[in-house]
Formats: sequence, C-alpha cells, structure tokens
Amino acid sequence: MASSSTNKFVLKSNDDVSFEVTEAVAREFQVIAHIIDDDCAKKAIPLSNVTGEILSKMIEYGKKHIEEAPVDEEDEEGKKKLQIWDEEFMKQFNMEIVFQLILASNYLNNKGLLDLTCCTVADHIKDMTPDEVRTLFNVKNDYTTEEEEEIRKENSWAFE
Amino acid sequence: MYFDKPGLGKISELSEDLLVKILSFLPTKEAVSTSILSKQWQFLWRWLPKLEYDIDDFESEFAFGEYMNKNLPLHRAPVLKSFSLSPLLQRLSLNIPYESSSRRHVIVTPSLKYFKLSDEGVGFSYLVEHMPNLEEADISADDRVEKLLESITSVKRLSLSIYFYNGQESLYPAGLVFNQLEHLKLGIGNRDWQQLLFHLLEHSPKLRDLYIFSDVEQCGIAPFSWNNISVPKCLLESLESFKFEGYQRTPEEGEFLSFFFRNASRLKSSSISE
Repeated sequence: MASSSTNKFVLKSNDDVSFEVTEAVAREFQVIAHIIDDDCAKKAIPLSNVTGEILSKMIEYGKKHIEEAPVDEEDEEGKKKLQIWDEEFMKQFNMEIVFQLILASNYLNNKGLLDLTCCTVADHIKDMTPDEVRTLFNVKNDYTTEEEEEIRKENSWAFE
Repeated sequence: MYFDKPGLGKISELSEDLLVKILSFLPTKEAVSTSILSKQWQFLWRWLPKLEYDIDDFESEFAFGEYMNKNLPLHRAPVLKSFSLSPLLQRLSLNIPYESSSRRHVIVTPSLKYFKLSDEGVGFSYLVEHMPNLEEADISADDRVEKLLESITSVKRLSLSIYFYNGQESLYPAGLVFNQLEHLKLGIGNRDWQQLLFHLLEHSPKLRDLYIFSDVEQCGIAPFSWNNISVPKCLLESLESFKFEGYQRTPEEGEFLSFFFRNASRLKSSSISE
C-alpha cells in the first residue's frame, strides 16, 4: 500500500485549476480526508466552492504545516517558527481574500487556517471605529438614535 | 451557498457562526462593543464561548455584580468554556434565576476570597477551578455541586444549602477534606441531610461552630443511622458552639441531637429553636 507521502491526489477548483498534492497535504482538510476515506479509488477531487486562487493559498498553508509540523506538544521552537510563518503568510492578503479564506477553510474544515484567518480579521478591526467596522463588514446601522443610546447605556463599561 | 459568486466575498456573507468565531479572538470588552454595529450584531457576543471581565472596567463592584446577574443567565453559548475575571477579583456573587436553561459554567477565579452562588436554575453545573485562597463561600444550589465542593476546600466559613441533595456516596467526593473549616452553616432542607451533615463533620477536623437550619418541612428523609459510626474528630476536639434553627421534632433530628450531645465533648454553647 502506498504511504500518504507518495500517494497523490488532484484537487480541482471551481474555475478548473488542478493541483496535485500528496495524500498528507490533502488530509489537512478534513472534508477532503472524508472524501478520500469514502472513495479511495477516485484521484481527482472537485471542489465546487473554492477558486483556484484561494485553493493554491490553502495548499501552500497545508504543505507548510505538514513539512514544518512541530515534533510534539513540547516543541516550542517548532511551534514558534510556524507561528511566525503564519503571520508572514497572512500579510500578503487584503481583507477580501482573507474573508474568502475564512469561508473556504470553514468549508474544507481546516481548523488551523480558520483560526488564523479569523484571528487576522479580529486583529484588523481591533482599533477601528464602529463606522469603519460597519464599512468593512458591509453592515447597515439599523438602530434609531434612541436604541443606540440604550445599548451604549446598558453596556457602558464596554464603550469607555 | 457562500461560493456561488467567487471573488465577491464580503464579510457580510459570513454566517453568524463565523462572525462569532471572529469575535472570539477579540477581548471580551471589544466583542461586546460590536453590539453597537447593527441589530444583527446586538447579541452576537452572547454566543462567545469564553468571557473575560476586568472588574476595573466597571464603575463599581456593585455595577459589575448587577451586570453579571443580568447578562450571565442570558448567555447563549451551549457550553461556556471559560469565564474568568480580573485576577485581582476577590469577591464574586452569582445569582442565577429560575428561568435559566441548561448550561455549564466554568469559572476561573484563582484569587477569589469570597464566593457566593445562589442558583435557582435548573440544569446548571459548575466547573469552578480550584480557588486556593478562598476563605468564605455561600452556596445555595441544587444537587450538582460536587465539583464545586472540590474547589472550595480552603474555606474557613461555609454556608451550604442544597435543595435536592440525593445522598449518593459519589456526591460527596472521596477524599474531600475541609482542613481550614471553622464555621459551618448547613441547610437541612433535603432528604439526605443526615449523610451530608455526617460527611461534612467527618471531614472538617477543625470545625468550631456548627449552625444547622431547616426552612422547609422535612419529608421522605433517607434512612441513616447515627449509631455504630466513628465519631468525627471535630466533635471530640474542636466544636464549641452549636445552633439549630427550625427544629421540627422529627425522629431523625432527635437521633442526630442525641448522637451530637453524647459526643461533642468541647461544647461551650448550644441553642435549639423551632
């Protein structure tokens, strides 16, 4: 039986871009791992909800986390190294791409990347004004002035 | 589906689950402040699995208490994984009203000196991390308090009322010893009060004051024999004062009292009233 490092699979994006990855990398995404377990014969896996651009970034992330996986729980140096790589990795994206990565990592079920991308958004909005956050999230303020006042009053400790 | 229009991703397309996930990476204070964004966002923070409060953000401890009493029962996360307070917090009172639904609280307050819990809710359970500095606890709750008892063994003063204590051995955790306990106030309004009282006496070697009270009519008391049991150390060595309020002249009370007065050799004062 072929080992997971030599066994290859092809992941196909919704805009018909194909990526050949090792089984280990493919298994980084739980949904794909399930597909592999359910039907091992099929080598090309279509992913109707992910574009090639996003998929290539996700594969890059998955590969890195396979190759540079910390030796064990105690491998603080290894964890730190990967964390620094994660931060650098996220710096290349604008928010729109980050949102797409959130959706895709949620869809393909990669907890590490989902946490990383959500954390990136949280860091981004940390020091924003409510209006800036509304713009970013495309949220319309549907409170009346009185309602807004009331919420500020109820949670006054959080607005100081 | 989110991916129908690739390239047009906006945060507004994120499900509420994912928005909560993003909020979970913010400090609790900032997550709560997103309630101002829109009606959809108003209560998103109530789904956070982890809450961390700094009491210094509030006007006063009283304001904090009011806020917690109002908001904690409304919290919607099915399991509140962690609930922690400013590490300097020394007094915490939680009042959980009857309407609260089944949920689990994890309370992390290692520096706490005083803990009060008044729980009328149904189906709550607690995982209170060990509170090594706790000096005083005032607990009134239903029977899911075993874990709680394990976390408060350092107390000097304990007031305990358990409504539905069901007396199984496992409910009084094996090996649980209240080494510092000097003052115990115990409600005996449950059917297994005799077992609970015996266990507490047996495992509180320094107890000085015992105050038991009953404010409900006792019925269906589980059988317990005060004969042929080893006399708790505190009765022989440290117990000086005894008070019993709400004496109902049941045979069980009578048996306990005769056992107690037969063995409490250091007793200096006692009072019994109906």
